[in-house]
Amino acid sequence: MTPATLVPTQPSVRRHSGRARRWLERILIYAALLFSVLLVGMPFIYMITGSFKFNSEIFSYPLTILPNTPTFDNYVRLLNGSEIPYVRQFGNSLYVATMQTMLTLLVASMVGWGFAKYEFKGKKILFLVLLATLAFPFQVTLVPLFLMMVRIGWLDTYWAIIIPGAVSAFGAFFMRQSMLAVPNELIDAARIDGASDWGIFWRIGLPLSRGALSVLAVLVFLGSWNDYLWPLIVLRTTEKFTYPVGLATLIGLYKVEYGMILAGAFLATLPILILFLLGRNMLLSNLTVGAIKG
Amino acid sequence: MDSHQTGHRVSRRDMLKLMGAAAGTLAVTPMLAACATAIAPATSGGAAAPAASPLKLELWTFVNTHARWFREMADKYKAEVNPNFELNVSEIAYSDMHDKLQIALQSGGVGAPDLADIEQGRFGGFLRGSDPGLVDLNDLLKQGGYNDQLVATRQALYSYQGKTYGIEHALTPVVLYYRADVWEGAGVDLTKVETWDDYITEAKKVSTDTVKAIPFEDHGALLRERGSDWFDVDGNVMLDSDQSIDTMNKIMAWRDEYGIADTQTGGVAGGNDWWAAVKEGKWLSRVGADWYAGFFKDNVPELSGKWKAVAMPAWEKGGVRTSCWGGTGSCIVKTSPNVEEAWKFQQNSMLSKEGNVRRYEMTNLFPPFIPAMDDPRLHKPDEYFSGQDLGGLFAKVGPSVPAQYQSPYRAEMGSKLEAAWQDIWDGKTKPADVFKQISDEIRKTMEAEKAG
Amino acid sequence: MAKWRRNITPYLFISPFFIGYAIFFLYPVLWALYLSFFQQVGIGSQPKFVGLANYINLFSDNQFLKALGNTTYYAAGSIFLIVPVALVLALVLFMRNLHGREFFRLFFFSPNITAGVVVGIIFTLVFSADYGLINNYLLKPLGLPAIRWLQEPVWIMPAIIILGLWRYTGINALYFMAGLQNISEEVREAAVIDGANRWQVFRYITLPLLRPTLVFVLTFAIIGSYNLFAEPAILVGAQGGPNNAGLFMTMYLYLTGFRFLKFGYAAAIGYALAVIIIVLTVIQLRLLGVFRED
Repeated sequence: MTPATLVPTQPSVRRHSGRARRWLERILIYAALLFSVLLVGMPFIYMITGSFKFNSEIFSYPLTILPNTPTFDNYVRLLNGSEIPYVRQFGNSLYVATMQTMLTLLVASMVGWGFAKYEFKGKKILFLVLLATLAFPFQVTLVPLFLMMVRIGWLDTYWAIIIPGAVSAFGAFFMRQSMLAVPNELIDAARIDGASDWGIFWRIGLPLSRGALSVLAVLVFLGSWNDYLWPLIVLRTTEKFTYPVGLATLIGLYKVEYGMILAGAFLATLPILILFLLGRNMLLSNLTVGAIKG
Repeated sequence: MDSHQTGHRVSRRDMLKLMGAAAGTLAVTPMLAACATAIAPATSGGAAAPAASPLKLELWTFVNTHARWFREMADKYKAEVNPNFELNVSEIAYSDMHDKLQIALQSGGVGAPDLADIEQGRFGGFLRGSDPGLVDLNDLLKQGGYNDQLVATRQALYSYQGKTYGIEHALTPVVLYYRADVWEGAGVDLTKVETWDDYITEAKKVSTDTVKAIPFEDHGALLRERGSDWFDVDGNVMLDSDQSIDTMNKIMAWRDEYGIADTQTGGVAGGNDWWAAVKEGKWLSRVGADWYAGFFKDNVPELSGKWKAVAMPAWEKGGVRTSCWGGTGSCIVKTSPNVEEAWKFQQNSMLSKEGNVRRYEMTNLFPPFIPAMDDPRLHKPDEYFSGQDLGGLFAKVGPSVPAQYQSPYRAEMGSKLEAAWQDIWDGKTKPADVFKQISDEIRKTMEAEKAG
Repeated sequence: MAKWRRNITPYLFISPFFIGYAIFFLYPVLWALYLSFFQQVGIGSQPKFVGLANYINLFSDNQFLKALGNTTYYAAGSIFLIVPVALVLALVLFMRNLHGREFFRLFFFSPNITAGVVVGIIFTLVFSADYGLINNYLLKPLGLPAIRWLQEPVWIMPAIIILGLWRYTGINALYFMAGLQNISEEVREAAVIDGANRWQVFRYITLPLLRPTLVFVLTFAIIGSYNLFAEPAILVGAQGGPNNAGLFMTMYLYLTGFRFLKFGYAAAIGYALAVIIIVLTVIQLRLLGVFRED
């Protein structure tokens, strides 16, 4: 059957008008993208330049982009620990976020794999039950969970943040959706070759889900990194605070250290950016195609 | 088959990389101690400690200047009274600290500190149940003879049904801050003004279409100047009293009838929009407590030397010329194993002349402690306010600072009011209607809970 | 889809998740359910059994209903504005031969990196009536009158939706890109060879194959909307601003529990919120045919 109806014109004319249209299209797209970049970037610019301004200049009118009197004062005071032990708190956040990410990825990929590749009794119900966790706002479980932490002696420790945090229905759902796409032919083949269930999971399921795992890693890390409410409740000593809790103490009743907060927030975005840049290769590679072609 | 094996090898390498990174992070961050579990709550154990081990108390506050002062007071106490004393001061953001304290008290004192600063706006919440979990200081204050030394009306903020739960940090004398250069330039001497009616007459001289003498001032502060409040001493709702409604109507009249006021853009005065407008010279005076002076210095340092302060105009000739606005109480938690020591610490700091003077120097909050009020250190000329002795003004109006009555329902009333102000200012709703509606809602809630 | 023998293996995979779930979620949530049948107000008060009274009161609670309406308004904005924009962005960024793809991807994701509290602070600058970015740099040059974003009740939710658009478009685009990656290039190429134009490829190939991702994105758009707390709380205050126009359900839950100390009632609000989320999610999943055996 001959392909789609195309008005027969001179081939050369068709090629030119098609190319011109595509060229115009690309210009429009780039223009739209750059305009969006400007819109999206504006608040960021204010955040970053604000961290180099004195407090009174940050909100003064007319709004200035570049500081009239630039200063490193905010950064100096933040990093030398005169108000809060920021460097230490930053390190705490790194530790907690890394641990939580690794644990969550493991648990989420295991449960995602179970739901994606297996049939078992109660599967539908359990899946709904899993989703149900997402429906509950955190404030509901806040007080009972706090009491539990006290009772098991995890108050003012990082376990209270990491362990409950590893039970992520979001991660489970995300991994399940992604692992559905792992081709069953590969699994069948491996079974025939005598691989164990765990081996299949570890050597086929996980590698083929690298894209999703990287995205999830970034998201879980990000969530843990910026988590505020729960660490606030559970941590007691200033030296143990994670960075958001530390920065919040700069919001005083009589004075808000806006400059230092912006500086701290800006520094806190750097690990995420690095993580994102590191993970982008995994995000780009086209795995499933490779597996099928092989 | 090839790519399958490739995939396999790469995955393991990545896993190792991840683990390596994690191990590296672990090595770098000195957090190995965190791996050890079972950390007991921060308050020290109740066991009678031998003299050698230090007595550790914990204090929470949300004001960093308070925190510094407390730490200094701890050293003082250690030197003067008990060398075994140690105080761990935690500074936690305002809203969060109160939330955390509430959670702790609700859990029967688990994880609660020994001492805590509680701000008056959040204090009501602690009274909501049958037992706020704080020590009643009534008898202790009486026995120590402190009642004569503290400005009594301030203690009302932390008292309820005959019990007193906190000691006030700040007198919060409210005064009128004004752009001296502009008023005097127009030939007005605000120190001669005695009543709000006088003020209105003078304000017309400096107000134009774009420049206004005063914003819509805080209804609560002006109401208290008149001697009334949202609640009365027994906890009855007074928001819809005639005096309250009349006060709001008079405030609205500043704009509607006399053109000397306007609603401040940005909604709540004190926001960043407000300060930008102040910098431009759009606002020429502001009612504020002593702590408000610091806000000027932080937000509009360019206007230094142009402002002065004077006592508020009274509602009628010879009436009270100040109000109260804010306040923070220092409280002892009931479940603390160190109540006695905490009280002794408070005596040495909050209730001592030297402590109060030092606190003024560090926080700029005028103390409610009468013996400290005439100390020369509280009377230094303030450069921002044209060299004026602000302390002298505060000391003069201090004794007549009116009372503000605490209630378990203040927070709820405040919440409903905050959502309603903009429409009142915009003229979309009438104060009488709104006040009545909110008052009835609160009364209904009170009824329902009383039955319980 | 091949069927697997029913054995205990799937249960082993899902057990770490569900054990943690039972301890750290189920127990607190059931405790909260129990609490919602009591009236317990304030610290140190005795709880009083009131049966369903708390739930019945919800129907006549003006602030609760207002919060419900507001949050649904935002959720609609999320589903019908933010998600489609994210999809378009993902498609654009997925185009072949797009210069600067790396940069754009990272850039549009970055609004999600900063902590919610800081975003709220910066956006007070964006929406300020007299001195804000939007009024001064967008509306004024176009000759449009300034909008009192945070003072007029009718503009408050649009402002929050704009904030949501800024903050969440990038990450949703990221999810879509992860999904697009899984769609085999060959299937698309085959369709083009058959003469399908770009719109047809999108509608008949891409979109259907994106369904798992779409399900995921919409589910979390709904859940995220109903759980939103930090950004609007900073932007308009925990009360929700003039007329409670910006009062989200989580904010009302927070106020009830932590300011008014009505713990039993707060638990009931939390449960009502959870039920609403579950119902909406199930409806959404049904509409997208998730429960159909494919």
